[in-house]
Amino acid sequence: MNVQVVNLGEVITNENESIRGHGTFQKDGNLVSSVAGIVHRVNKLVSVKPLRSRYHPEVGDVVVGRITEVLRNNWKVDIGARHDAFLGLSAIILPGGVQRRRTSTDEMNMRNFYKEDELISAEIQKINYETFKISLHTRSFKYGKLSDGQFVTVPPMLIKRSKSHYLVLPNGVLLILGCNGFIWLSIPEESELKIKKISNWFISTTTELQELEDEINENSNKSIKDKNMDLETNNFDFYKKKEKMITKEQRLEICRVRNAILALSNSFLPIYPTSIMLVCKKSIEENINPKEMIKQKNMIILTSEVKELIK
Amino acid sequence: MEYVNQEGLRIDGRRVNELRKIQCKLGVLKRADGSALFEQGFTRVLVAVYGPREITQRRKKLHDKAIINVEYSVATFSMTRRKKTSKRNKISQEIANSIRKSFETVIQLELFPSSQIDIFIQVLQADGGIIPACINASTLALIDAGVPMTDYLCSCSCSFIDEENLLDLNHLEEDSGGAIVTVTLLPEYNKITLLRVYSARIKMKNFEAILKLGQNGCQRIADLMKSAIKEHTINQVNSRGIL
Repeated sequence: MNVQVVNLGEVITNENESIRGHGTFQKDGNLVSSVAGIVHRVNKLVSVKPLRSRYHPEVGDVVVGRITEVLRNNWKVDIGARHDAFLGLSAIILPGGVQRRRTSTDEMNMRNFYKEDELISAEIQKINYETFKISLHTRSFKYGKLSDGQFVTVPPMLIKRSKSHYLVLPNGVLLILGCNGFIWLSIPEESELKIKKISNWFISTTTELQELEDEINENSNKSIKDKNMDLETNNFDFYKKKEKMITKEQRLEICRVRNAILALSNSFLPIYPTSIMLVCKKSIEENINPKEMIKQKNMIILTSEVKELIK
Repeated sequence: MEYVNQEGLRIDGRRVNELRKIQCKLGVLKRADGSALFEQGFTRVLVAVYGPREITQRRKKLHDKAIINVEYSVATFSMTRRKKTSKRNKISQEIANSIRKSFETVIQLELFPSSQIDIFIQVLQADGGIIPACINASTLALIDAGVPMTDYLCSCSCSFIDEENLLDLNHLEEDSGGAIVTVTLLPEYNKITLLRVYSARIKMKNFEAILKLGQNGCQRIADLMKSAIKEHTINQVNSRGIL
């Protein structure tokens, strides 16, 4: 691999034609790196990306965040970026799907929607680069309050931006991959989801991989439609924490997926449904139960197939 | 007590201008944005860096740049005798303050308005040269966190004992009663950001020679830190599945 690794203070180039990007500064007519990392060149734009950094938000990203504060007409959400994001009162769905102007009664009832320390999934609506204010919105049925599940954190660069971040895996686990590295695992609403036993997966050829991805998309879309129907019925039920009945097998599957994610993050491999399922399948083949998946030697075994796939 | 014997060897067998063995480990704490474990002889310092992130102390918020928050704490088991030192006492605060001011010159704070960068320093073993070790460890942790800086910040201590200029003191030499000079340097610019002279007074005629020795020591530490970072970066690039 042809990459240029630079150290802090190392001269990258001394051409005056290069445009200074992130991670560089000018000194004595030279372009010097201000971080230790890899040089990226796009035409004349030269930038240095450090190997580890915080989440850098982009408009349209799906993120998972935790409510830190309830303010007058918005909520402050921690998304692991340089600043906390804001979720405005006008940017959420009102119960019943009603479209109206938010009144002072709504401002009083803010805690009935979201309270401090609750997890939500949302999309980044806009970023004001001058004040660095990140605005979120939950104007879709797949976003909103997250409950009855498990939360995992991984480095944000492992999650690539893709078409859908709200996914239902074939083993019945709901997966929300936040672009900020915050991941939510849960069980989707009951419906006719095609839940296959992991031992029945065949993920060897590319056609089978494609079939599996199609299945995931189908299941995910079904789950979103169910949420839609649920919304129109009751008043604040959309925002109430639902106590789902989660069976022991479902909990085991959630743990398996969570440990698969941790194994991938340990080897710094990209996290997307195919890689997670490859690790899960390998764990079944090798008879490693979820509790032992996070042991160092097991993690190496589990991620070997994914490493081959990446190369 | 004899600090430099007739053959020119010190208590631990070093020559007058020799540094102690330096070991750098990066990325030791998984949850912190950046972390480093720095060993200089028997002095060990662990630093965790968080940031830039949302500011917690609203009063200190600056609209055009980030603030640095340094917390310096010494473990109770780090010295020869078990001693509980509070993070809030005047000495710790003064040390934290001087470290903060040094880093304000190197970190590019204007890139992160209304944010804060936290540097948490924990001294695990104190065998002389604690503050230089803290500064060196903090530099490594900041680089590990990907915080943009204009230069490394390297530091070392020196003194004038037994008619000799000594470099990189251990705690026996520090307790000898001679003046301790701590130099913090920007290696590329060769500029001093922090200079502390304490414990005793020093004669002007000796000062220049000691300062030069200190600067020389800092440059050598800078080279060691640079090679450690380079090695760590290349290892990470090679071991990762993606870039």
